[in-house]
Amino acid sequence: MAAFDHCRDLNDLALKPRLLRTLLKEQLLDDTLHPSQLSSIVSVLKIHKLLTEEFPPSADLKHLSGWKSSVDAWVDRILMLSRSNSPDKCWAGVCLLGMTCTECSSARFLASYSDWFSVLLSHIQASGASQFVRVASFAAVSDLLTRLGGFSNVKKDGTSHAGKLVHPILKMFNEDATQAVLDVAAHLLLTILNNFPSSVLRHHDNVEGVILSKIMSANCSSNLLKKLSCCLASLPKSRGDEDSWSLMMQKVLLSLSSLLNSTLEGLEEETRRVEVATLLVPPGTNPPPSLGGIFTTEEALKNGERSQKSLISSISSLMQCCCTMLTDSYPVQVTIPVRPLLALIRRVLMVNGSLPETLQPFTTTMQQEFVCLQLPVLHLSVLEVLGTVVKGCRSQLLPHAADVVWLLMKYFKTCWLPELRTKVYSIIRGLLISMGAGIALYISEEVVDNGTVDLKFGDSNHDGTSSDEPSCVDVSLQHRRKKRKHGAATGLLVEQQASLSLEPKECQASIALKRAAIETLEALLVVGGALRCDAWRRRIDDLMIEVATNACSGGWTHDDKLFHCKETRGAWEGFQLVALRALLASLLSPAGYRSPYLSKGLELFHKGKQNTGTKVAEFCAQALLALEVLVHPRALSLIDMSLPNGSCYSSGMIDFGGPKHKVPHKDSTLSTGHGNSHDVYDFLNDIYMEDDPGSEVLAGEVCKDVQFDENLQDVSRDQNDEDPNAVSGLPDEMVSKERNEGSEPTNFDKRIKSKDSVMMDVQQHEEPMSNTLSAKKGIEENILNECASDMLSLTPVSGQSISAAKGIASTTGVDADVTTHADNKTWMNSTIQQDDESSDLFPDIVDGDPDTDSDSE
Amino acid sequence: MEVVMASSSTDGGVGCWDLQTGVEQLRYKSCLSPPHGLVSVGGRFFASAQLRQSSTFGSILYWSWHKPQPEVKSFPAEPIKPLVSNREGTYLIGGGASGDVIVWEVFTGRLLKKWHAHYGAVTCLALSDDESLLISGAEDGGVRVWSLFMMFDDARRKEARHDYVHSFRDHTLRVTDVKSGHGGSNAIIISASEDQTCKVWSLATGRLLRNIVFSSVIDAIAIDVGEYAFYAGGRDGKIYIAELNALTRCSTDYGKHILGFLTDSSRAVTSLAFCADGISLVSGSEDGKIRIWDTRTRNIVRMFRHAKGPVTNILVTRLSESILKSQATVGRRTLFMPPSLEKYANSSEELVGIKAFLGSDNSSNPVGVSYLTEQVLNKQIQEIQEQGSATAAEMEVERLKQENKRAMQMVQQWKNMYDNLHQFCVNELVDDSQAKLSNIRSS
Repeated sequence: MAAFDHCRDLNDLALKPRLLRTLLKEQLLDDTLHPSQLSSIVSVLKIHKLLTEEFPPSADLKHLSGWKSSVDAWVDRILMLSRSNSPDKCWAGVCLLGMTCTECSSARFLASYSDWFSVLLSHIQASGASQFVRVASFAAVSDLLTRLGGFSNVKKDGTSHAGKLVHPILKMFNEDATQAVLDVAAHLLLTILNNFPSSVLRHHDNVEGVILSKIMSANCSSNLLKKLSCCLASLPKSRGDEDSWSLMMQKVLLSLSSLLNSTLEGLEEETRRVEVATLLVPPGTNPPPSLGGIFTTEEALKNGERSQKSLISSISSLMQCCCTMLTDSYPVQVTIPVRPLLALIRRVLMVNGSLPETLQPFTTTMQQEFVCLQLPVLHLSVLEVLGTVVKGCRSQLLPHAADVVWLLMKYFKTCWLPELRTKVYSIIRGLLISMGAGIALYISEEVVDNGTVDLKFGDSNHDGTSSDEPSCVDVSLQHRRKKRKHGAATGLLVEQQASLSLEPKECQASIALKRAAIETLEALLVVGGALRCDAWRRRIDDLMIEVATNACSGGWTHDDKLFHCKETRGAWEGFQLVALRALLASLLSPAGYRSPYLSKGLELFHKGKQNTGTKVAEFCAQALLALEVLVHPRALSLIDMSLPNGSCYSSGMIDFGGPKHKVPHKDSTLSTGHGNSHDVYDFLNDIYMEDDPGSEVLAGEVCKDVQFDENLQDVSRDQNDEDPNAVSGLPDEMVSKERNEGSEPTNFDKRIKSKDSVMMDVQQHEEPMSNTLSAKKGIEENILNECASDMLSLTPVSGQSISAAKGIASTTGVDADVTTHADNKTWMNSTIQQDDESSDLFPDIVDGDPDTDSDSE
Repeated sequence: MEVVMASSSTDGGVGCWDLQTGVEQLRYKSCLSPPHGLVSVGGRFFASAQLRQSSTFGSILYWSWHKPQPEVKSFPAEPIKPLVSNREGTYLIGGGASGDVIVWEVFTGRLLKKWHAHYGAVTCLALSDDESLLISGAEDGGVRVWSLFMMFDDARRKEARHDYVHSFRDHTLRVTDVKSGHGGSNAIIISASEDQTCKVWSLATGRLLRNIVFSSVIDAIAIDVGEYAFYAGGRDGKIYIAELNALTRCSTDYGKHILGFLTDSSRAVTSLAFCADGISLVSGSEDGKIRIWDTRTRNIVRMFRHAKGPVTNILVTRLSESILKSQATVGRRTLFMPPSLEKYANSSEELVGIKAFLGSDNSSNPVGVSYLTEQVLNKQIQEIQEQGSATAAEMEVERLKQENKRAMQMVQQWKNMYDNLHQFCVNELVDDSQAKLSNIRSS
């Protein structure tokens, strides 16, 4: 009968218990369980979610009990397996138990985690257990605790369970088990520290000592060292108060400092060392006990003949620990010792492999070689710490931001290794984003300088690069060889220069470095693209279009061309993406002038959009949308957002007395916004339709005025610049430029046709006369304005009378002319678009403006 | 829950209303704040500058949201009027009567920096969009823009000709309010002054973009989020709407660039603020009332009565329900009130470190719980399949041993059975033959 009791479909709940039973019968009851079977079981469990026992509320009770019983059977079976004597069965059982811990329902987990825990614990404690079983048990128990940590009501129970594990873990570390076991043991310890920190409290010092001895011995894999340093960083959580965090930080910094003493010996000056030491242990206070208790770092140093390499790996681990401490969340507020940290960082970064003069007689070549060999690694990890300091302090870095910036800028000048520069760029990027325009203002020049250097493509023509490269390398090699010879002759003096500071030309900047440089410049454009950018903005724009063009001309990914660079396709595509993103930022970031590369940029984005299915194409589509706003700038009107009932307060709306509050709509805009039949506000329509006959008449009047009285026109021009009322929302050089050049926009031709000759005439006349006239009239105007502003400040008269007093000569016609121009932003833009070529001369023209001259007088 | 808070310079404490329902919440006591002197510090608590007319020194008080009494009192060296804090609530910046601007770190109360910003008393402060620039207005009519980064960089300050980024000197009388719009480094700054003008400045270039003359002194400014227009509260009781991006003819009946006004009372409008929806405008008036306007219909939608005295400050902020009832928390961490602000910069004790919460704020939900078993399992299976490692071999040996043992047992069993069978057969045969033998014998 059961053979024909079909399920509805894949989603039928009745299917799941059956699948589970089949799985159990066919795969798990076998005597021989092949490992590959195990992975297929796991994948089936996960895909079909066979253990979750999740029902929709409407589920049939029959299915419910069916599923429950089949999961029961499953659990019984794997418990039996995991208690088995045969190691392979036991191993399979433990692994599946671990899976069950993560997959089963909460109720089942809470009901039976204790039993499972004891099974796993027995495997961990058993001395003769197979290593496979042991590793699997550690992993499974770690998962169990992770899941348990999610339930807040079993904290106490969990802590007592976790406490039982600490001792076996420590034993494992002391016994020198294999890497695989240590790796999961460290992971388990980390899980315990993160979920049930107080269970470690009893063993605090012990754990610290054990971890430190492992870190110092430095015969572990890098992965294990990373986990161990995370454990060390999480250790203060066991107490969870501010002091223990600070103490740990201080201890770590002190041992770092003493390790550095022996590493950098002979290559740094004593003063820096002392400076850090006094910051770490302020005079008058007792130094804390050294890290790791009995195993003091000093002793560890003296004991073994530690190679330089193992020293470096210990230092890196401790720095990793610092980083983790700074970024991991901690239950209470702590005091981050920013100044000692920065001093330590500076101490390392300022060592560039050169010998200070005072130390030259005492340092051997071998020492220097040692240090120089390891210095990049050291710098990289110290930069990592700097990055996390910036990240950890967030907005609170402000009082120390100047120090950080000083350090970075100084380091930038001496460091030419691509990996290190990449890291420096990423820190600067973080600083720029978090500190905003206020910092961009002061570091932009240096960032742009550095970016320009790093983004130099060897040759803009990429086909030529491959042939050029060998010769380039040859040259540099010869150069270096020469240096060597020279160095051998004259001793140390020359070699010390060659240490870290390779000349920029010599290092072919890697693609990662280029990416970092572009991204940093992009960040600069994003946060401070507009603020006082005259000095560097043009350079950055030029650079961005050049880089983007180069990135794209290297062959779009679908043209099956050979890539000119050695990078993989993926890396190159990533580079293109970054370059295009930066180009978009350069086009969008306001600069006060029209970007000369708009059309080139649009072309690039259109071309990029054709690479269907790539990230580049996605981004290009987005970029085109963003540029649409640039082309059609829109003023956001108070449109009727279609809220239900028109007001969000309608539910509790109180009537405050009807019509007297309702201000009649006197102006046109508001009536287009609402009240009118316009359902959707159409920006373009509003902007373009504005060019109605009314304004044309206005413009005509202006010309008539001008025609009749040239002097009057001139005066009123001055007046316009003097009178701040006339200053429009647009960057004012646009206005002045347009007037100055006398080239009436061709888009105005409808208007101009009739008055064409007159206009040109007037403006030509104006050129020679304006200087003298405006100077004379300018003085008059100044006096006039002073009077007006005096009146203004003395007697608070009404606006009407002020403007009357001020604008004696201000013929309303001209005034309106200027402002109409201002309103017609689109026309304005198109005007400037037309003399694109001359936009280079832009600032000069503004400088030479007679109006502004009189202004400054 | 979005609340409107209002304080007065004469009496009445701080009123607090739920914007949605209009229900009055807790009323916080003993607050006499001058204009621009009420700020929410990172949403954790709120602070207010205090200035009693009789005395020459002021104070700064902190209230936590759930207690009516002020919890922390600080007494700066000089009276502070305007206060401003960043979104994260790490700094509190105050403007002094002597023209100094003072920056405190909230968590420690340390006075981080103090510099002479203006000749006259500082009247208003605002932070730029990205909070890296500080804009200050003063009684001498000056408006200045400061880079906070620069102010902490002593070396750079020595080299530079002046500390400020921009200095706007076009106002002839006391500056009453400054506000900054959105748009990062290309934002606009709007300043209002007792010379009856509001001026719009470009942050990027430092140029004056627009000057708007009103028929009354403007005391408060609020900028529409889309910068369609800004709202200027005048002493004649009108809230003028002055155009920024609006596409209109420039002059209306009310004056150049002025689109219209909202009005309800003839008493001066002292403070303005926008709600989170960007449409409802909250105004505080000298008549002690708080009005909420719908800027699209220009109607009043709600009105709260705060006190008899003038309302000087309006603060619109979003709070969680729980924070009004108990101690503020960030994630799972309880926040306690910070210590009071220092009077003087403590030069002997250098800035060694900063106090901070580590890690992300949303630590309550453990993100990225990663389980290990599957990863370990796959690694081990791979190891077994490759059969390269000693541990895998060890397990294999163990398995083979077990198998061997089982096989041995089996052999033993077979052997036993064979023996038994043999015995049986032998017995049978023997019995049989014996029987035959006996038969033969008998026969």
